[in-house]
Amino acid sequence: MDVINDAVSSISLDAQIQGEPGDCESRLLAIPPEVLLDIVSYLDNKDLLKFARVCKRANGLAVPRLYETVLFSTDDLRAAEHPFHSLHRKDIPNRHLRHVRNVGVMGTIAEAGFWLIDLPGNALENISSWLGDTFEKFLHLLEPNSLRGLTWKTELIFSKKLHDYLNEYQRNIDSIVFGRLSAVGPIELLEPTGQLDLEVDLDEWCCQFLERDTLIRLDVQDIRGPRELQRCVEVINKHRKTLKHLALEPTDIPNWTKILNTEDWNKSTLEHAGLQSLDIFGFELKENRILDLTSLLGDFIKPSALRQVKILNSGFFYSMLWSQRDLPKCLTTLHLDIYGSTDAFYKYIENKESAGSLAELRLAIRVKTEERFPNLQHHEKSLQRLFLIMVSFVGRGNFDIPIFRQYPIPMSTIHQLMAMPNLEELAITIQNPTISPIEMNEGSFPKLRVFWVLAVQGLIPVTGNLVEFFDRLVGVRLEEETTNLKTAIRTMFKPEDRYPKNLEVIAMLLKDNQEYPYSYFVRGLDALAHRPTGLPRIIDESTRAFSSMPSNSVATNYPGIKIFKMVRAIWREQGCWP
Amino acid sequence: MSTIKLLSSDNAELAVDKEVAERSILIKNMLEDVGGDMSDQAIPIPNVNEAVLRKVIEWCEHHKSDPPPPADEDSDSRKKSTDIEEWDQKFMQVDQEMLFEIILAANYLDIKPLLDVGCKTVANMIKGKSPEEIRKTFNIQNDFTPEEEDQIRRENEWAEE
Repeated sequence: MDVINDAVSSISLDAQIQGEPGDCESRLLAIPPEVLLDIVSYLDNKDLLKFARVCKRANGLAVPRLYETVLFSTDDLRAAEHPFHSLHRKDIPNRHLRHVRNVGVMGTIAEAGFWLIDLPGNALENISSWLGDTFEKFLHLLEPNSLRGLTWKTELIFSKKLHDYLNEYQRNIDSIVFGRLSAVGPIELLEPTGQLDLEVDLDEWCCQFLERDTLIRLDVQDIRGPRELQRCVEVINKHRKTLKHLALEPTDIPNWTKILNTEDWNKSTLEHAGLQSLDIFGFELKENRILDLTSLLGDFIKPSALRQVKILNSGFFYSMLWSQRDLPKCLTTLHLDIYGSTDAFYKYIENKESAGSLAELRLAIRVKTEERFPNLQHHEKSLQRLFLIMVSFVGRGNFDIPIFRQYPIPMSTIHQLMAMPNLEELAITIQNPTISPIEMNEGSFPKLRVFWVLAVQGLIPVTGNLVEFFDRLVGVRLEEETTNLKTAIRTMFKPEDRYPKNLEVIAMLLKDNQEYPYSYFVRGLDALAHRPTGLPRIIDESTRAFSSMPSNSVATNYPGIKIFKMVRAIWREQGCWP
Repeated sequence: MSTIKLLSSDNAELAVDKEVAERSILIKNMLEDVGGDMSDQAIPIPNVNEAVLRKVIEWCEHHKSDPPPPADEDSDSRKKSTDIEEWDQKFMQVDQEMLFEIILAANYLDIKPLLDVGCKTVANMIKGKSPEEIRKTFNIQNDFTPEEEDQIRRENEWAEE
C-alpha cells in the first residue's frame, strides 16, 4: 500500500512540477491510479522507458516503477562510461532517485573483467573496494531511510563503510538477500597462503549489519562454514519476532546439527511472527541422525503457519517436519525430496485436513525398490503444477554423475491427474512403449499447458523438423537417435491426434540420470542455438533474465511454466514464436 | 443451488448463481453481512451497466471452479508474467471502451483475477510499442516539449540496456 500511496503522491507532485497533465480524453489514463499502477507493474524496463515518454501522466506512473529496484552488476560498477553512471554523477542530479526502494550488487569480480590469478597480492582488495566505492557513491544520493530491500550477491567485500552507511542512513531495510558466489573465488584462491583473510571482514560487517534491524525476509546462500552458520542462527534468533521468509543454503557443513543444537539457540517461548516460508537446501542429514525438530529448532517453526516449504537435497531432513503433531494446514507450495520411508508424508498428503490450498507440488521420491505413488485426490481442485517422480539410485556414471532409475507412474494415478481441473504443468515418468496409451476424452487434462515426459530408456525421440502443433514444442536437441515425435505422441495418447487441448509444450528427458527435469529445460536453451535466426541473442537475453532473478537458483525456485512463459516472451519479442 | 439477482446501473435485473456471483468479493461480503438470503431482493450494482455486468458474469461463470489464488505467492515482483490463458484472451477481445469498463467493474466488484486479466491485456497492448504508437492506441496527447523529451531520455539512459 505504501508503494501505491507513494506513487500516487508522486503523480500529483510531478504534475505540479511539470504543469497540468495533457488532454486526458484517453480511457486508459482515466482509470483509477491503483489500477494504472497495476498495469504498469507488468511492463519491463524497456517498455517502461517508452511509456514514460508518452505523456506527463504516463511518465508519473512509469518513473517510480523504473527506479524502484536498481541492481548493479559488477561490470556496471567497473565501466565508467556505462550509462549506469549517469545515476550518480553529481553534475546531473537525478530527481527520480527518491523512488529507489531496493538496491543491490550482483556478480563476480571476474565478470567485471578482472582475472585474479594474474594480479598481485593486494590487488583484489583494491579492486573490490574500488567497485564498492562506486556503489557507495550511488547510495549516498538516496534519501535516508528510503530503502526496503538489499541484495548482496557478489564477491565484493561488504565493507565497514557500507555497513556504517546502511546502519546510519538506511534503517528500514527489512528484506535481505545475501549470497557470495560460490564459484572458485578470491577467497579460495588466497586463503591457503594466508595473504588475505577476507572472510573475517565479510563476516564481521555483514553480520553486524544483519543483526541491527528487524527482518521480514532473510535469504542467505552459500553459508560457508560452521562459524557462518552459527552467525545465521544468531541473526534468526534476533529476528524471530518478525521473520516470515527464511531461506538457508549451506555449503558442505558436515556437523550442522551440532550448531543448530547448541545452547545459543534461543529456545525460549519468545513470541514470533510465524514463519510462512521455509526454503532449505543442502542440509544433508543422515538417516541415523534424525532428530526431533523441536529439539533442533526450538519453537521457531510452527508448521501450521507455513505456506511454502522447500526442502531439497537435504537427506532425511524432510522427515522431521511430517513427524510433528502440528502439521501444515495451508501450504500452497511444497517441494520435497523423500529419501526413505514415505509413510509419514503420505499420511499427511492423503489426509483431507491437508487439502484445499496446495497449488504446487514437486515430489522426488527416492526408494530402494518401487513403492506406491501418493493418492492426491484431496488436492484435485487446487493443484496447478505437479512434479511426481519416483527414482532409485543405480550407481554413478561418468564424472560421478548419479544415475537413477525412474519408475513409471501407474495408469490409475494418471487417470486421477487427467481429471484435475486446474493442472497446468505436469512432470511424470511414463513407461513407453509397453504402457497402454493414455485414453483421452474431451475433458482430459483441461488446462494442461506444459508436459514433461520423463521417459524410461530413451523412448521418445524429438526431431528438429516439426510441423503444426509440433512446431510449438520446445524441441530439445538430443544426441540420441531422433526419429519421429509424432509417432511417439500417438503412442502416448489415444485416440490418435487427441492430446491435451491446451498443451503448448512437451519437453522430455531421455536419460535416466536426471532427477529434476527443470534443469534440463534451462539447459535446453543451449540446444536452441540450432534453430534458425537470431538465437545467440535470445540465449543471451534468456540467460540474463535467469541470472537477474533474485533467488537461489532458477532451477529450484521457478516452476517450468513460469520459466517457459518468460522465455517465450523473449522469443516473441525476437519474432521466433507465433 | 441458490440464485440471486443483481440490478445494473441501467436497471436491468440479472439472475446469477450465488456461487458465481461470489467470485466478487464485494457481493460475497454483502451477502455475508445480510445473512445470505437475498433471493427476493436484487442487489444494486450502481457502477456497472447491463452489458458490462453480463460480460463480467460470463467470466465468473467460466471461472467459478478456479482455485483461490495463493496469497503472497510471488516474492519476485519484478518479473510479472503477462501470459493470459486462451479463453481469457478471447474473452478480452472487445473494443477498448468495453475493456476499460470491464476493468473498472472488476475493480469495483473486487474480482481480483478478472482485474489481473484486464490489466495484463492492457499491458500487452503497451508492450513493444513506441511512445507514438502507444499514444495512437490509447488516444493520448503528447504534452511534452522537445526539451522535456530530451531530458527524460537523458535521465533514464541507464535503464536502456
